[in-house]
Amino acid sequence: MNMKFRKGKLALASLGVLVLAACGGAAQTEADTVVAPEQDDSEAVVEQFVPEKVSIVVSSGPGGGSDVLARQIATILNDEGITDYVWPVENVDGGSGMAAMGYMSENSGSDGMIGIAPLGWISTAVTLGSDAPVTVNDLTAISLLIVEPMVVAVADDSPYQTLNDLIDAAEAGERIVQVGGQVGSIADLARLAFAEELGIEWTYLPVESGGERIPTILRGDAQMMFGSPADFVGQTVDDGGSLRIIATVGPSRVDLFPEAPTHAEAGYDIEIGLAFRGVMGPPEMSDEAISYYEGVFQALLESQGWKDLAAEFGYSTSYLASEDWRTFLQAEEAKLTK
Amino acid sequence: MNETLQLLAEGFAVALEPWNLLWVLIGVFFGTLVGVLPGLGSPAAIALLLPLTIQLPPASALIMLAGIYYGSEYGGKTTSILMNMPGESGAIMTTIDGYPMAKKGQAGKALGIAAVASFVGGTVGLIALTFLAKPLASLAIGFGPPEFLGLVILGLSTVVLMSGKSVLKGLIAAVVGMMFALVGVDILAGQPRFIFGQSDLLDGMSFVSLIVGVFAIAEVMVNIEQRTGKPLFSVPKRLREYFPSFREIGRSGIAMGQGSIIGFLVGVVPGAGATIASFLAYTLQKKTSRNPERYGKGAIEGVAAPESANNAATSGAFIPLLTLGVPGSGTTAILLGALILFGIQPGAQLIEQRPDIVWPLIASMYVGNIALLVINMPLVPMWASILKVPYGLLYPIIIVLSVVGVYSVSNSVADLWALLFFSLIGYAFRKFDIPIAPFVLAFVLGILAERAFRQSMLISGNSIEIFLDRPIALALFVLAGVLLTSPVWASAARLLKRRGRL
Repeated sequence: MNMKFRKGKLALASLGVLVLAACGGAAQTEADTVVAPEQDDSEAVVEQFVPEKVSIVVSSGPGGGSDVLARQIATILNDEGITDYVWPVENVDGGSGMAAMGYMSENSGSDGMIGIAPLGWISTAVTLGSDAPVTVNDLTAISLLIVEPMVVAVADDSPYQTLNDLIDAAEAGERIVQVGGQVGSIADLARLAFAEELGIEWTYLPVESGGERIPTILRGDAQMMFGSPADFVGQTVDDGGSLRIIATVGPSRVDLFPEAPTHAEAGYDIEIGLAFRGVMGPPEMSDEAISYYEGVFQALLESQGWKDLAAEFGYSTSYLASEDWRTFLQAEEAKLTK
Repeated sequence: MNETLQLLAEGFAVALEPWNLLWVLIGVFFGTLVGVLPGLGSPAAIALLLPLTIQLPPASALIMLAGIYYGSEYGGKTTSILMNMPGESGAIMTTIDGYPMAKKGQAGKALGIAAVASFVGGTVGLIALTFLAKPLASLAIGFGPPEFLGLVILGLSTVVLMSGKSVLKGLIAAVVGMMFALVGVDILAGQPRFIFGQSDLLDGMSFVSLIVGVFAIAEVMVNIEQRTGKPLFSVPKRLREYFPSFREIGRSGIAMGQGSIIGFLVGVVPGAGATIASFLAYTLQKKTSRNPERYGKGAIEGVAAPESANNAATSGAFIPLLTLGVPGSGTTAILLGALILFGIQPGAQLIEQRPDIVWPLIASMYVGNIALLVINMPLVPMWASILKVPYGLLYPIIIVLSVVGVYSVSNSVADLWALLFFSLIGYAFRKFDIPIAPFVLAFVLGILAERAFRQSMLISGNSIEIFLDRPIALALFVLAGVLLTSPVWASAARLLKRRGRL
């Protein structure tokens, strides 16, 4: 490869990034000057920070949730001209997220590495307690991207047409099995929240591989599943599948399944945790880099490419900048520790 | 049927376009290489190439990525046979007879029959995939935790058969394997077990480290120690010795047929895959053989059976993906991710809604299997001549490849420590003459058995009747029972015979 050429392209494109970041970024007032750059303004651009190369660390294997999201983000950033090349994804799976967090903390001070942080990064550390070698508090908070309310799926021929039907049945002592990820995952925590508030228990069936959970419902071994909207795309009756989405477990209905009422609408006023995915950096990331990435992700979330993707996959966009994202993480951590 | 043929023909029209043909070839060639390298498996390779394929039309990209997947099963056997080092977990059973064949100077024959068996297994699997995808989708759905437990117990019961001389030593190996399998987060309780405060152990001990350690590095350690001056392998001299004769291929026909059918069926079951398929195929072949004592000492059928099974399993694994929109194996999970990245929403109707993607993919797999046979046969003498490399050179190469391969999978130094640990375990096993295969089998299946049992109990509300009420589960348990007690039956029959003669 011709390195000189690439560097030249990088510098050029980073200029473009800055313009975009400035447009969409916090510095709204500068938008006017960008249109007609003056001498002193371009000097400011030179001082601005752009990392030489960037990789996105994900704690899932290829094809996993964070991996797909990271690749989608990298592609859109490039398509929209926010970055000049597709940022590569590094899969560091293992240790339920600990391996990826550890890898990032080994690269302390690096400005060229970011990670997609799901809820699991908090909950694993909480499970490990003092054995956790690294926690999100050691890393740099960059921005929150999406929150993921859950929806409730049942089989097409299920006798349970609403969330009320399910909960009433459980209350009446019928056997209700909920299939989901490992114990302690967000779907299990939602079940616990219902149990605590209403005093109604049902069985939770952990199935490790996501691909086996929907067949568990179709087979009748489980009566329902709480999952992220993306889990059920292409699987509902409307799409030729065999599932029905009967409710949303979260603060508001999701665009993908607008017919599914929230649990509050169904009459259960219960606070339920949200799954989320945000961006973290290694410890000691420079302030310039933080504001650069904040700009990039703000520009991403405002882009048309992202909006189309979010609509298709049911991602609920929810941007928080570094400081607020840190506060959010601490609040979620406190909820889990309790 | 006619409609299927029509769709398949349309698929071929796309798959045989020059560019797509090129992508098939690149995919299968790359897959072969990836399979040869220990540790580096098809998931890692597909992940590596995913960004490069984003620019291609989705059908072309999938054709290539799928080529890597089944191509790697072809490549996996190479180091199994030559170095007792499975390149893929599906190729573990190939070491049992493949490596002894290489030691006898029949490396070429072993590699040749493995290529033929892979082709047969892959093609039989594809034909079944083409015509039986819809009916078999119900098998994929119908196979729940109780049925899965039956299958796993059936697999575990083969430990007895693989133990060689001493059943006791086989059981020791299996128990140790199961102990290591328990390390990690117990998903049914959400709590870590036996991790001793090491977060690196949360997801369990690395399987790649385990197979590379106990097979490859431990083998090297023992060989270095035993260096006697005389060569370990007899290297074939005439070209004829490099290939299996038609008679030998014919003799392996039944092994390949059985292996293909078992492999395909097990491949359809989500979560089972090539590893279990090859274990079962090998066992069935040995069980039904008229002279089972030849196995483990270099029987050519002992290579043909697992090799046809692991390739047939990769075809089977496509069924849940294409008919249900859910992945049936680790690698098809990545292909599912790839579909999403190409903007295709995989769902329950994938095969109906996107025939423009699905049928060229299936057709390309037929082409790819032929290409793999054509590519692999001429490579046989080349691979076999690796054994001519002096050990002083070969052993360091094996160790370097192993370490790099393990590290490349997870970028984790902890996995290298695990590699060292398992190398020592493998070395100790060889010293005490404890068989390796039951150890690996129990490591893979032990945790699955525990999980499936506890899931079954959750589903049934702690009633054991669930195993009796479900016919597939019951049948599998009965089969496992027969297999487990088969040594008893055999000796009873011998006893009766002797009585009769008296």
